[in-house]
Amino acid sequence: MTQPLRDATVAELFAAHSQALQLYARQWVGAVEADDVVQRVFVKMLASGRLPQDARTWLFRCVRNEAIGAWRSARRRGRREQAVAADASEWFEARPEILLDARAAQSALESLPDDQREVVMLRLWSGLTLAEVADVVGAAVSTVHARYQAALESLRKIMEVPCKNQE
Amino acid sequence: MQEPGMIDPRDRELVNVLQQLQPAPMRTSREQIWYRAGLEAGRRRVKVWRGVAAVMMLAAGAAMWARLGARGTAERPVLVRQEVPVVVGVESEEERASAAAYYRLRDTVAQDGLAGLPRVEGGNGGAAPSAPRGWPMEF
Repeated sequence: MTQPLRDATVAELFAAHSQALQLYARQWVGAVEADDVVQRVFVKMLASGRLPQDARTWLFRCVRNEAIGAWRSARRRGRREQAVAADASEWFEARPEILLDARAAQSALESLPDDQREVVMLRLWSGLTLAEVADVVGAAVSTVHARYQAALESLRKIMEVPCKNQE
Repeated sequence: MQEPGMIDPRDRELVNVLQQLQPAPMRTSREQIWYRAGLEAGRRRVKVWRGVAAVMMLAAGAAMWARLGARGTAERPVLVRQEVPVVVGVESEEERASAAAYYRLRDTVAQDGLAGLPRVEGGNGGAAPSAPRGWPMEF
């Protein structure tokens, strides 16, 4: 069941999820295109005039579809490689108070298989439950859980290496 | 819905560390999204009016075509049946008398046979030439 859309609700959703949505879209497209994808999804929501039943899940699902569409279209035009190479912007904000290197974390995430990375991104930075993640990616909850476990294990192995070297 | 299975405590630590990272801020502001939404809505409205205008143009064109078609001269073959005058033959008095005589003779033969034929006086069967009038001559 959908409700009529209020501007304040959209503003709240934008404030709460725009960064996570952009980060999620970055898996397929560059920073500029990811911004554009998120913008298109919010414009679509405003144009529909109705608030989807589960707005948060709807947003992530739409961003996923839009980003994959943009990625395919860029691939068809053969410009993806140039776009990604030109886009050296980072996925995370560099903050000195955090011990973890944002760039290293991004590299570790990039090294994961696509389906595992997607689940980790949704789970950790979007705050979705595994059931919601399963809804967004269109897979069974058990599959998503297995991907999440495997991704964490891989990340732990990748990120523990520098620590061992330091010892 | 409950989360299936708990994650390993070592993974929990990793998750906590990773979650300290903040996604890079968006370059698009909320105002830009509202502006774009307004722009798109305007475009949609223009598209609707364009569609209405196109339909009206088509309707006007069709109406004009229909009117012009009604005024135009249509060429088509027309079959006219001409009355042919019936020529009725006009019989003369002689012909009518001759025909009447023939019908009478026919009816008589049909009724009485050859006996019904009028007797010919002094006939020779038509084998020999009849004697000229006034023959034999008396001196």
